[in-house]
Amino acid sequence: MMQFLVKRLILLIPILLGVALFSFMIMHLIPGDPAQILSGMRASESDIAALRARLGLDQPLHIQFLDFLKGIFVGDLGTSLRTRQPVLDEIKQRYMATASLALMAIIFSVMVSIPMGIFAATKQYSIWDSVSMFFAIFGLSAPGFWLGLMLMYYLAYRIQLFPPSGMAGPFWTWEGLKSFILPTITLSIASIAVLARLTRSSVLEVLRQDYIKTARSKGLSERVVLFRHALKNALIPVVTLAGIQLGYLLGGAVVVETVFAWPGLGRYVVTAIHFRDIPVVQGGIMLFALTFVLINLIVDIMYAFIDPRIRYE
Amino acid sequence: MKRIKVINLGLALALVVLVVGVVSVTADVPQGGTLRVAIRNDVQNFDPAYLVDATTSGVSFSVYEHIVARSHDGVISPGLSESWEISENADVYTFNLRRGVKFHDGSDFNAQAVKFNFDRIMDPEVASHAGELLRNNIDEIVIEDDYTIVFYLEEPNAAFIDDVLIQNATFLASPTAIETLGEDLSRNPVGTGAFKFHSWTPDTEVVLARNEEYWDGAPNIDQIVFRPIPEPTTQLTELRTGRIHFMTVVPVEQKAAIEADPNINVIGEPDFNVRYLVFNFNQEVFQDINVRRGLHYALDITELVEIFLEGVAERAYGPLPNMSPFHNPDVLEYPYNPDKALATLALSGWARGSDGMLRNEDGETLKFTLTTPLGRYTKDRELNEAIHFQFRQIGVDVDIEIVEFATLIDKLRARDFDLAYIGLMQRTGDPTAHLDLMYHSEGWANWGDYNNPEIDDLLNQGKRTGDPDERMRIYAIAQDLIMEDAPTIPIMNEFYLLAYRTEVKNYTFGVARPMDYSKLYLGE
Repeated sequence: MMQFLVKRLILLIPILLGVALFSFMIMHLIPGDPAQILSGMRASESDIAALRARLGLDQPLHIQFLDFLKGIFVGDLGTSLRTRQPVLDEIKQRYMATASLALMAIIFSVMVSIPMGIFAATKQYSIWDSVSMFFAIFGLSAPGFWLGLMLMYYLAYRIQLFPPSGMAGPFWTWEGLKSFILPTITLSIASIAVLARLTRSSVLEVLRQDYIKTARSKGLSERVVLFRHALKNALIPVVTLAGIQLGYLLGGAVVVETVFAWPGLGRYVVTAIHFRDIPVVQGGIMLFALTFVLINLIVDIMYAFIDPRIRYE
Repeated sequence: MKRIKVINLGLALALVVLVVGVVSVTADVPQGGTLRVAIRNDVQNFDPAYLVDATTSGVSFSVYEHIVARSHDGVISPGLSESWEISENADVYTFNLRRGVKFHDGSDFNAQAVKFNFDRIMDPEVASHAGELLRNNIDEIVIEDDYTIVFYLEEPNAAFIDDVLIQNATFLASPTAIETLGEDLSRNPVGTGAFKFHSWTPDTEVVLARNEEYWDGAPNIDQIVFRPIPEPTTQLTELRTGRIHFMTVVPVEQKAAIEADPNINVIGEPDFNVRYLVFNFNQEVFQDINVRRGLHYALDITELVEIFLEGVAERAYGPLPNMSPFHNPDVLEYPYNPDKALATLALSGWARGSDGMLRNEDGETLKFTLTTPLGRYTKDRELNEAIHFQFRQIGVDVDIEIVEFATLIDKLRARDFDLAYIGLMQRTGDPTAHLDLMYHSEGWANWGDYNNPEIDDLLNQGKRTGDPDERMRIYAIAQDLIMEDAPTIPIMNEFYLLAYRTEVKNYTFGVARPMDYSKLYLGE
């Protein structure tokens, strides 16, 4: 196990190096000069050149890249070109908002989708199966943008149950929790759909296995068969997928963060791309990538606990 | 006629402001409360030296002030200077500063503070975006006494105040704060304005608090909270539920819906901007005046603006914004006329071939690319697709290229375009802030490298003349000449639109200072 962990952690290095190189190249290859954008349309060439020098953007690309890499190793992601604040501080604040929303969303998704999937599986081809799978497909196809605005219109404007936008505080306060609800639902819908469909098919598959037949023929009640024998095995792929979904939620909340004016990292990085705030974009992408690979690692480790047959050598 | 009307309007407005101001002192308007304003993006950097984006600039108007103020309709008026004198040939500007004004950190506002700010922006080490502009204009700044400061210019400039002294980089910050805060001035602005900076929670809110010692009387409200809300529909929901009072960007699609709400006022006026198509004179085909004029006749601009921008823009007449006091109402026009377009193009040998395309004697088509930004100006893509279609209809072999705004600016600067859709937003209607930039051979926004010595002469004269009537005459001629030469095709003046709740009372709207909250109060 230890050996596996070390191996995986070492593998992280080339992955992150690749991400660093990739994000660096993209930001330097797309048109739009940061010094120009930061200076406004009116600035003269010499003013722009002076700013470029001040921001270190006049250095050759390989030097800039090496500086960026050096910074990563000492935990310094540079300074935002726009606000002149350390990127790490700027990202930290936003990451908390994104992470708490993603956590809420994954908890909500799991709580809704797994019972929904099990229910649909046990009542296969019933009207309830069709209804819940219809909702799953709807959730998968509905764009987050549209869904967010619809929820906002009905629940925040028509009956004013929740605030339309913003994060009013951490989720353990009443006001804060209320502001979490609409973005959480919007963000969860697609995950609920994916997880519910997988739970359903996975449970269905397990229920056809011989050992379930054995359990049934022993005279065990359907409830015991389902919860004691079937679920343990059926949920393994669901856990994997839930982990991957969490990775997506942490990085892919841009639309939801924009619609609900959420002070998160996705919205921040997208604005930074718009203004060519290179250090912020690079730092944000690095963090997204790191989160994603770490979550995958954690999911892999969790396998061993859920399924004793899996061993890491 | 038009000019007189505008000036009268200005006077009337000033009177109203004066009367309301007097009334508000005596009639005990409700005090206190928090005004909530939605902004599109988060603020970025409050250090005047690096302040460029419109959002931060709008918020800053409540915290910082300039050496003189600009009234709501764009007229230069007393503020931190009680009065000023301009030498006869407009090259020496003397400002008599207001006494007893303090920066929010308690330090004194005086001539030394003004000079400190200007010296800093002009310092090449600071690398401010306005450094070179100020260095090119200002020869010397002399402190005559604590409350008198004199600017000696490199050369006469009648628009020095309007064009150079009032801009983002020349907001006056406390010298003590600049020295002690350093880079942290970027998130702790310290000015003399009606509101003091209180706090900034990134992407959540910026809070300003009432400045009790404001020289023009403390504001009625306790606080302003600016909330960055990127999505206009979300802003609208917040406005309708009463959680914000002001919405600063009103999308065209939602204007009608907002107007129907009895709790919301929608207000708008043409802004000091012209959106136009600019010909790149480095392309041989556009050096031909018949081509430029012919293409002008081919566009039904009135209809385009009506279809795409009903109620949010008006058709541009000439190179100056229609709102400008210097606008020439009789300026030359090119009314839509496809036949005349073809006839004009025929003067240079362009004739429609059997396939309907315009061709010259060598059989080449009239080929160029129309470049438009996406999402920068209201309906920019839709409008240009229609323009593309109208050109095609008379047989022009035109392609359309839709790019991000940052890319467009790169292309304009590199002169890497044929015909481009662009605009410039100014806070004043003075011709130096428009014509000098776009049509003078040395103007920084002369993207097409247009060069007409006659125009240059007129613009130089206008800049060096102190007499307003003489300037009016000069610029009327300049506008006609520019239209005659057709280096651009002016399309429209976009409105400045905003919506606010009816609880907000005594708010004065003006395109030159839409975000002025110093005199309003919150009622029922």
